[in-house]
Amino acid sequence: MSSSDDIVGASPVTVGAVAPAMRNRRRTERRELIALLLRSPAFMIGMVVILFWTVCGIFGDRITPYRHDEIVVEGGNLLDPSFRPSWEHPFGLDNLGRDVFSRVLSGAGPILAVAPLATVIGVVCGSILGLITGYFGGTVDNVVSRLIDAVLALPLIIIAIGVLQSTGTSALSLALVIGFVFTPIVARTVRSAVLGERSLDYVQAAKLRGERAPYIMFAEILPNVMGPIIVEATVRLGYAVFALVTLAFLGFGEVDPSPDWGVQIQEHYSYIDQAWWTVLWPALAIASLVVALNLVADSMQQAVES
Amino acid sequence: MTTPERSREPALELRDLDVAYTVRGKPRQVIHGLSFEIPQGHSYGLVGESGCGKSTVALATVRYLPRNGQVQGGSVRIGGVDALALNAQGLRELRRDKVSMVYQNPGAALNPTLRVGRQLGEVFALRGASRDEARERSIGALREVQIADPESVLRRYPHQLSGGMQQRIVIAMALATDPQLLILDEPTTGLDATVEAEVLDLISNLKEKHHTATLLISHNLGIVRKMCDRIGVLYAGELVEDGDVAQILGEPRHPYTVGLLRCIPRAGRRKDDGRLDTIPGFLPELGEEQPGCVFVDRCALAQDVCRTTKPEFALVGDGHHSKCHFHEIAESLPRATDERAALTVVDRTAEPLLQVTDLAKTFTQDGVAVHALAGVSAILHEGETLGLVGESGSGKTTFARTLLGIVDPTRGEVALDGRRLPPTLAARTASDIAALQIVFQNPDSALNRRHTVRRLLNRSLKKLINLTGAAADARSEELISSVRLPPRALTARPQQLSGGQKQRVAIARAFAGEPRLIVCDEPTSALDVSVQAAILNLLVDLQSDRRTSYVFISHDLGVVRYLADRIAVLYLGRLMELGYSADVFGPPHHPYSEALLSAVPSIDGELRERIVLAGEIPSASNVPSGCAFQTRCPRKIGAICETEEPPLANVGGDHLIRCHIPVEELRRLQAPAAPPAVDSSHA
Repeated sequence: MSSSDDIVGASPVTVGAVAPAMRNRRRTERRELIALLLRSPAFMIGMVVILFWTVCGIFGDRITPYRHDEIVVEGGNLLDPSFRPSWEHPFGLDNLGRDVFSRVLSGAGPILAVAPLATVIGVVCGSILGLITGYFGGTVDNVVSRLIDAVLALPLIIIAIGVLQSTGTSALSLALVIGFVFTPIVARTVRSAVLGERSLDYVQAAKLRGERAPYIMFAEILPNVMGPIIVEATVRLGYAVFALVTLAFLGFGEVDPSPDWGVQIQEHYSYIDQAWWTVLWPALAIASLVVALNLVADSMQQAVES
Repeated sequence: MTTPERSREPALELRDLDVAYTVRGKPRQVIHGLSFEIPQGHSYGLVGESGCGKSTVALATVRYLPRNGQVQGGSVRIGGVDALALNAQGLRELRRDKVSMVYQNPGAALNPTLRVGRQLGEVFALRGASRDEARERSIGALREVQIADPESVLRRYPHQLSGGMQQRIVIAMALATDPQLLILDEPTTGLDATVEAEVLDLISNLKEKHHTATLLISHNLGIVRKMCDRIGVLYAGELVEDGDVAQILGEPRHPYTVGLLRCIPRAGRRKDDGRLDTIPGFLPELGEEQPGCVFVDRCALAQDVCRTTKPEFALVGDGHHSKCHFHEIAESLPRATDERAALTVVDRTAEPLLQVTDLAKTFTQDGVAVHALAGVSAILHEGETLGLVGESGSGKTTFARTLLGIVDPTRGEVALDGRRLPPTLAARTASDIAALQIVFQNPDSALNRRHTVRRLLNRSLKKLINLTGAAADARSEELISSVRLPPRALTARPQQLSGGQKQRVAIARAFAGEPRLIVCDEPTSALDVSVQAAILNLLVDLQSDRRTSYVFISHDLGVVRYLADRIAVLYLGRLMELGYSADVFGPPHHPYSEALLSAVPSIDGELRERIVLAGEIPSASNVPSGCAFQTRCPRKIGAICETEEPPLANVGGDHLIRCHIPVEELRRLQAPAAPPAVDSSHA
């Protein structure tokens, strides 16, 4: 078998000419990436924790020992020994006599409904903005980048409180506000990735067949910057969780009897001396979810960059 | 110069070296039982295509292998010291005192945040010199690498210096400790031919002076010939042939060496002389174990014995070894390609396809005008190839991009079939855009890695000639087979293809819109020579099928000479010489062309004396007065060169030269002292 690279007299091509190289490289980039992630302990631990909270969030009261708003012990108070963590109530009872364990588990629900929505809004808007500024550059980039700097100069919470004060709080308005605040941050990341891609020759090649800017941005460049976008989305999801509980703590967002972790902490932080369990468990829940999201984001970033 | 006291031990001795990389948890052997030695003061060249393990040998020698690499067996002795047995302290001393390395990219070898003086001084400080002493010795070291103003260079940061300067500094650092062994890994690959020639001269002189042994790794056989006494040919991690330079290049005894030498357009070979030969097939996969000869899958001489039994590394001549069962007949290796080339007949009486008139482009960079292109005029006929040569910064790429409409010219115009083209892409019609296409240097960058080959081709067909659906699919298949790829390549994404295959896809795409002219911007410089030969053959074939014209940009004069019908020599955005290939490559020619030609290290030995150009190409923002080349011209005749720009004069036979020296004088000056060898001995 002569697997010739340049067949004598340009005779019909033997399939063997290309076969070896193609066979050897069949493992595509994406598969390689997934294989790399599955071997990373950080990624696996993070995913398990996230999955756990997702299941809790979806099924909520259906899998918890008590309903989140069920008053297990009526008329007691936090100083009663029966309110302390016990076999019956491993995380104890809260000031209204509700089971903290059940409330912590179902507390994932409201957060996991709003945080991904906020993230999607921020990532979609930010990616579009980043593509436009990165691709066009020049004046467009200058103007938009200064606006982005201006937005980034204000703390997230200040903006959110200002907007929520005037619009009123709902799941949608929360998602929109957090998404809005995320947009410039995502845009920056995407912009720098686009700058790297824009200098590659395939962009010139597209122009040399008369492609218009939107096609080049969305069909040529976007698929090549998906890696950084996905990593950024995961990072943002962690921040969205954090922002949501912070806002709930400050009184924006869910209200009692919602099992939202921020609400729980807000209602009990003044009792922390007498009843540490009412604050500790929701706080650990927040920490576990945020850390898990960051573990996943970090390992994805490593995988994308390697 | 007295030779320093040194032991009689070889500077480097490798014995049965085995190196493996751990990939996905499995060790994969990349170097198989490698043995060679370099006596004190000698130089050894290691050649082979990319992926053969050349750099791994260099890294293993000084124990700089990446974390997943490990030496599995054998020994490395540097000046008699067993490098593999050293502890961290011993290793540091070895690297400090006995061995130095120079890598391909000097920009990455120097620390960008430290001044040159500090970095260079460290080398001496490490050996106990005081601050003042280190500074004195740094100045001496820079003088030695012929840096004119060492005091000021010491105060500068690496990015303020040109690539050639940076590499000199790296060489100064490497030689500062007077090592026994200097390892050079592609030391001049990123540099222009003129600068490369200077750096190589410098290395040769210093090597002589210090009696340093060198291990030179290069894919360029011309450089190896110039620099080395012996050559080792590495293939898939095995040394397949080893011998004196003259033996290896003159009477190769391994089919791989024979194939490599045949791939290279050398000794003035042109496409009229026939097609280049290629080496079919691919390197074996990393870590793939072969019971027989490693080269068997690509060897036309292979018999059954080659598949089952590993050949001995047999002595075939005086100090000449070959690892081949059939080394006696290696030179009779049958060609892999048809010798006859289908050639395009160019009708020069017809109206030219392309007419470029006084094309100029001035960029503004931080408020400074950069004259990248200063009024270039040329014509190109249908089916003709115009070669563009010149150092980087000479305006080759700007010229090509202005033709294509990617860059908006400041002045001048481009006409196709006698019709003036609008200057920018946005203003050109789809058919004008389709008429002028490009093949980029690097197919990795030119092909969108997320798109399949079919999508890449279909999209071009749609945009350029409005072909969609089944018709486009059918045309894509035609295109892919016209570049000698099988139809199943259409479903692949670029990363599933080899470098040469990717470049074929890029060529297929350039031909999708039935273009009249294709700009080939260094299309083979990122490829190995065997792949380069196949791509050059393909370009010649496609041209004769379709009568497409090429503008071919390359820094490799051998390649330009092989492919181009006419050649334009650019310097600082000006046309210095334009003429038929044979005229430009032979005297009389412009002093700049002469210098460029003489800078190329030839595999066939130097035919002419080297002409050294002073310094490097000036900045295009500050072009010298008079003739742009006067600051570096070795044949400058006087004040007229500084005050008056010479006209581009026709010296006969459509041969244009921009020089004040009369053509008869040039002819006399450039006449070779002895009659040059017209062609190499083995044609």
